Amino acid sequence: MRIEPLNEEENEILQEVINIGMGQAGASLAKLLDVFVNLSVPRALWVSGDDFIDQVSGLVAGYSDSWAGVRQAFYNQLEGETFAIYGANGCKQLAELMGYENESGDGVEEELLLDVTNILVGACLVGVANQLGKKLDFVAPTLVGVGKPLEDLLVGRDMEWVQCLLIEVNFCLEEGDFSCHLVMLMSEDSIEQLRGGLLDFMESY
Amino acid sequence: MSVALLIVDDSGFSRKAMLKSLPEAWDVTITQAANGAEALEALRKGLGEVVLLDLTMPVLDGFGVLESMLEEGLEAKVVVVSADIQSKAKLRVISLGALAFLEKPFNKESLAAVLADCGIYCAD
Repeated sequence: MRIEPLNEEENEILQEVINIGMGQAGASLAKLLDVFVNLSVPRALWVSGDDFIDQVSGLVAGYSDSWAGVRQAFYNQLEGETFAIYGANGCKQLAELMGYENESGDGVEEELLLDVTNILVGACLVGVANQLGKKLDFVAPTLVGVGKPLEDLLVGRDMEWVQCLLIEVNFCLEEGDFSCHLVMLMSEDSIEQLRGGLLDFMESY
Repeated sequence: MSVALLIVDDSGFSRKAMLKSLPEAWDVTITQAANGAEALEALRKGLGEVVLLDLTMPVLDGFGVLESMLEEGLEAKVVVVSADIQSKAKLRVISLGALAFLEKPFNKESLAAVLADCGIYCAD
């Protein structure tokens, strides 16, 4: 079944709902690291499964070919996957900010990436789901790779979709070069649930 | 006398939501801006005695608007309305001269309460 993409108005409401989720995630990160977090304007695009990697490459600024990636799936009334993409120096800086600088090399940085991803994804998506009155559950995050080009980190998706909704938000610290892009993909099956939630949210005003 | 109210948000939906949530009896002349640069233009024309200001915006963000207002000596009663709810963001906007911070999602009641707290508009 072919699903109607979100129209302009629905997309605009979605961006505002994501903005709220992103703000909650940014506040969680700021609290965890005791830093100021710069937020971006969220972006939502309707993409075909085939050009998903190209689209994400276009959204994730910078010409580095060395990133770290963590994947975390979500399910229940909305279903999809989130990829957290960190700059290569991000892991090291994260460890420093958390006071682990002398313990690197034994999986500490990887552990931190998983924890931070869990916090960001949880806060952001729970923020979105709450606005929409939808229930959401999460699978534990898994590390996809460290020091890899982007296309190697966006593979291994559990679900292959013809069309999906791609959402991107990013967080960077005011000082230093830690940055994290959250790329969320929502399945076609979730779009009708999402649409209903967006209309309810709009009517609450 | 009608108050010059400037609503600044890059989201058209969010601006509409703010319009719908304003106190009904409040006599305002409304100008809308979709980013910080447009907001500054409106402020220079005297179109913002009261400003409802978003933070995360393209071109120039809300922090940038507050900084430019200080530099240019543009005076207005500013309430920041944002989803960027980190405590350092709240402290920063207050130190840059905003009167208050209203968290998104807001509603009629929370908007009315902040306008009353700041002495901008009280229904009774």
